[in-house]
Amino acid sequence: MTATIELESVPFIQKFKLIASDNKTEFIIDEKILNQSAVLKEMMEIQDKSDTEITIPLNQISAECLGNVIKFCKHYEDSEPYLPPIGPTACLSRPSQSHWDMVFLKSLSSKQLFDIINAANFLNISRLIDAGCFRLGYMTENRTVEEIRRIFQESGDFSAVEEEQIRNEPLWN
Amino acid sequence: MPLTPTKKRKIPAKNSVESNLPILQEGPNIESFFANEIMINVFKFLPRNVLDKCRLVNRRWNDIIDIHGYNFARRSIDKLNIYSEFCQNFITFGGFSLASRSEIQYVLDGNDHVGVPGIVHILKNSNIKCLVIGPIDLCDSNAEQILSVLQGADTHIMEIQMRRVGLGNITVKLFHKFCEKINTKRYAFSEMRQAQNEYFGNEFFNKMIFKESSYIYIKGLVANALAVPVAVDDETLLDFIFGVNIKSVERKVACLELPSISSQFVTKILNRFANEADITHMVTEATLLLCPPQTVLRSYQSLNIRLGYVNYASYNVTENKELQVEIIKQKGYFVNVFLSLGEKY
Repeated sequence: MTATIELESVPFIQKFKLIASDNKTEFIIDEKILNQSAVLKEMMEIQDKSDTEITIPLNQISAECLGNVIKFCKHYEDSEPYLPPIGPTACLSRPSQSHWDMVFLKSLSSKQLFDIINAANFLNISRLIDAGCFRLGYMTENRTVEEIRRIFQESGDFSAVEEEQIRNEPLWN
Repeated sequence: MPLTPTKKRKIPAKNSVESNLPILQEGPNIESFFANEIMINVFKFLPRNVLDKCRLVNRRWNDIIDIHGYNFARRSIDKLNIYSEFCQNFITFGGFSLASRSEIQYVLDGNDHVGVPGIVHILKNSNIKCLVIGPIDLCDSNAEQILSVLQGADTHIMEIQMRRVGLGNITVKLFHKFCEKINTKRYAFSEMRQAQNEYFGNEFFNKMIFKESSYIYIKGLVANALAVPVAVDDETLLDFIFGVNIKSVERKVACLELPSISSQFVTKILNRFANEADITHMVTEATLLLCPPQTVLRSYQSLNIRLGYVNYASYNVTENKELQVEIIKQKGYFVNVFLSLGEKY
């Protein structure tokens, strides 16, 4: 009797197997983690449930990066769905440096950080995209234009005259 | 001098997901690491002064910031002063921003609205740390004009200070509406002229916008060259201090000069504090400056005030908090009353 109740009360949890770009490294995750990615969630909605893991190959994401993404999502597996801040006041809502997200992202190298943001964008995990962007925002703090170029690996293409023109343009800055 | 031969980069069409799909690149010689889509998201969270630096990085970034500018941060203005020195019809907007050490002045002819788009453009999306209004004689038309500028520019105001503002030509209702529409959490009024009782009376303390602000400061009300008291009755002020009927806001400081409270006020607040069920929305520091001594002291204690200091306390059991009431003698006749909410000592 008790055994039956137990069986009924345990909900079916679909497992997924993500395979990284090296075709070797596998991550087994459940719905709570998968659903944070809008892309994968949408993909899996049309998929039938299966007793075994559903395999999803992610050729674009390296094993190391995918591990980091899953680590982040695991931290939020039981949280409320994320609502991104919008509008011109969005910059006022940035998390403090001691926030878990910021500490986690700070522990990554800049290569790892850039990879995780691109991967989050690819998988459309809005919480991770925003956290990454906030972290990038902190990295631009008190930097010169030249330093920002170096951080983001962007090359400048303005002439000195044009640069001066843009510099003088805003009335308030 | 041109840095490197410029390479025109195509900006993918807005809102098209396909064209923005990231291409993950490897290796050290990466031209641009992030897709426009991600850069938009990064810019969304940057303060304006950083955005202005980012515009100088290259054409791609400049274009993104230009195209999506309306979504991005406000400019930070440390102080904006709105005043009208000689003629009521001309309003001057003067301000500065410490971050860029820039200063600006803009004069608006109050008779028409020709200049409004200009100042709206300048202030567009700004975050104003302190808005100072005055000296100015407020009237229907200039109040409306100031509002149309601030709202048109969609400014975010952190604190408003009104100094030497004449209220003779504006009705109580419109004045309250004016304050309400500016919409901030910190209000300071000082040296207000023609400030008859009704402007800062019961109606003022019943307005939600003032009740929910974290900081209220009223000092130096004058009408016809005479000091005007803050004409609020005990019950309204008590409801205000205890935060009746308001929700989840941080209320910190209220400072009133010359409040017209009765001799029972201090007794009332001590008794009410001990029995109040909900003190979560209470003002944590209230200061009543220049009270006539007989209005706040019980007769047998008025002797003590000669020593300069009387202290009372009340304890709220439900919240385990204590309300301290300190009465300090001012020079001359008046006393100051300080109410502070704290942990049980």
